[in-house]
Amino acid sequence: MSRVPPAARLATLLILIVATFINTRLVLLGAIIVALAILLAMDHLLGRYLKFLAFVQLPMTIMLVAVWGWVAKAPPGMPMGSDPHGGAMFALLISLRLAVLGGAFQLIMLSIPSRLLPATLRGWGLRGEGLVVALGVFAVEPELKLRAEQILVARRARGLLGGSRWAGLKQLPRLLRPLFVWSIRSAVHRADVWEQRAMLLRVHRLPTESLPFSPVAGVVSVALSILWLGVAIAFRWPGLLGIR
Amino acid sequence: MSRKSSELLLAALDSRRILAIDGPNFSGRSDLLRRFCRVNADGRMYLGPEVYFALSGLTTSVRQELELHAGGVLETSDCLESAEKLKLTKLFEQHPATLSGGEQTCLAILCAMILRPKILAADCALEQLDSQKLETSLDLLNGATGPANGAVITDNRLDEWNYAVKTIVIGELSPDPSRHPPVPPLDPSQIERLNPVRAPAIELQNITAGYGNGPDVLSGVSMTLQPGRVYTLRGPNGSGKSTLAKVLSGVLRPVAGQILVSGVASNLWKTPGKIAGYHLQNPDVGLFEATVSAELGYKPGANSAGAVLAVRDAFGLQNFAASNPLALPFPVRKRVSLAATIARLPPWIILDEPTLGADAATIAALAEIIRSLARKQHGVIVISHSKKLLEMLRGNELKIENGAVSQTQVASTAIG
Repeated sequence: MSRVPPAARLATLLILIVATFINTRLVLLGAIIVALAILLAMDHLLGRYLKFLAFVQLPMTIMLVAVWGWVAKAPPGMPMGSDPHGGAMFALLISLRLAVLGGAFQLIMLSIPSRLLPATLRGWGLRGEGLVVALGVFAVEPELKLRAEQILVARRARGLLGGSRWAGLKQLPRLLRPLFVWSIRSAVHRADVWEQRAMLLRVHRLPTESLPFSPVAGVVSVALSILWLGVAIAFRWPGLLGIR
Repeated sequence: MSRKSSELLLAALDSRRILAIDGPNFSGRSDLLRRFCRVNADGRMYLGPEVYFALSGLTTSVRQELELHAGGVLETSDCLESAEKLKLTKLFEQHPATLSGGEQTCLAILCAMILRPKILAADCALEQLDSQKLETSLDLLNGATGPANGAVITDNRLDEWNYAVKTIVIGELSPDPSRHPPVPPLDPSQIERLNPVRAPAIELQNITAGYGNGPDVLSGVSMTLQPGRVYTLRGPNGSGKSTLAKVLSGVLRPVAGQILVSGVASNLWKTPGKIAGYHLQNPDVGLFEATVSAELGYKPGANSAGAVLAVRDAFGLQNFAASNPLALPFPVRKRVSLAATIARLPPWIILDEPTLGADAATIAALAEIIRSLARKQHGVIVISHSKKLLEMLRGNELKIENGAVSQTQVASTAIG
């Protein structure tokens, strides 16, 4: 995915979103999750996706199934308690759709190599402050992670924190204050730097030519998403594609 | 900043030449340069000691940061040669935040020069550079790629430079009085109030260490460190000095090898900072609390904090107990961070670039504090590029190059 041109990347994402909402078959959603996982693995992003599934998606799924299958015992629009199985299936459908959307976003957004990021964002029509903010958003996550690690290192270096992962987890609240203060200081310092160095103008001068975008990769990416859209339509409205 | 100071500074500047401002801490050098770059800021650029904040924060690789400043693909820009000279090319794909202090400084300087400011004001920004990179940076600032109307530099190592620059004493520029309260000098005699400790000997056997899936930074390091001594650790930027410090303090688990503490195999990484406390070179990373007293770990008015108060007084922080550490000037923040590490009285104390932002008098007092700690049987390891400090602490030298450490003992001034 790393060489997909900006327009194809955006088109792929939009088609994937539409197809996911059209689809009502759990098996198909499961299949697309597997396909996404394979593509994410090819871009070395599978670990992140699995973390997303384990720490975000799984708790959400449990909550949704509990609410619709056990508390409401019915899908939306039905009298409460009339169809526990339907309620649970509805919760699973929503959960799987969210899992697909999460994977699709990770595949489309996180597979952009840092070098191609400005050109991709500009290719999506972002200009001016919007472009700077978007670049900042992409840069801030790894930076915050690094800063959090540095704070943990500093606390360990001073003997304030044990070496285990659990000790690190227990110290999370203590991380927040220095992280927050650092973010504020960083913003203040960088506001000066951006102004002094006319960063708003500079981001527009970032190179866009001679970058290794591959039209073939773009065509393949869009074609695969259209295929997925076709499958979704075929199962939802078979008549539209002449299928009986 | 008064108009007069600005005019005096401009008059002292020569085109494409470096002007160094000499003066002690808190003499108004930083304020003068900051205001000089704000008033009539057209074409003037300020680079402070917190070099990391001089980077854009918009990029995720060194290459992208340089391209952002150059406005074009790096291969076609004229900064590639300078990047090569500053040894940045091998770091192109790394995140700027993961670079060592010296490497970040090189990147910040190059980015600033790419923008061709008329005047570049580097305020103690070059102090993390090793001697070779310092010379290269000064060459670049002095050469055709440098600022058109010259560079103004403050640096506490001016007397160590083997580089001829025009120097002016801060008093000649009529600086405004400092806006900070008076900062007491360091008082090494306070360390005598501390009780002696029983630090263990530490032996490294074939230690290999690195980060994640990256290459090994240390490779087969073996050495023995005896308590009650001061070891100086030197080596070029990015050679693994901080990595060795992390292994010794238990912050980083080595990939291979064994660590013996008092002759017994020990997993230092399970109790980091207990045997060896490690002061990181960037003071801001190691400041967590809202007040200096909380940072040092004592409650104002409590009687049980004798050792902490001794360390506080040794670092001249009596007047700052209720101050927010991050609101203090850089040299004071550095002192707070140093004191916070030492106040916990770990048997071994590792100080990474303790002289950053410190003037000659402070460095001399700091050397005395370090020697006093060794007299109290602490083992002390000092990582520094300050020739002055290294000379004062001469004795047990560790040199690191290409991931390997060599250990030599030279005739030294007695510590005991």
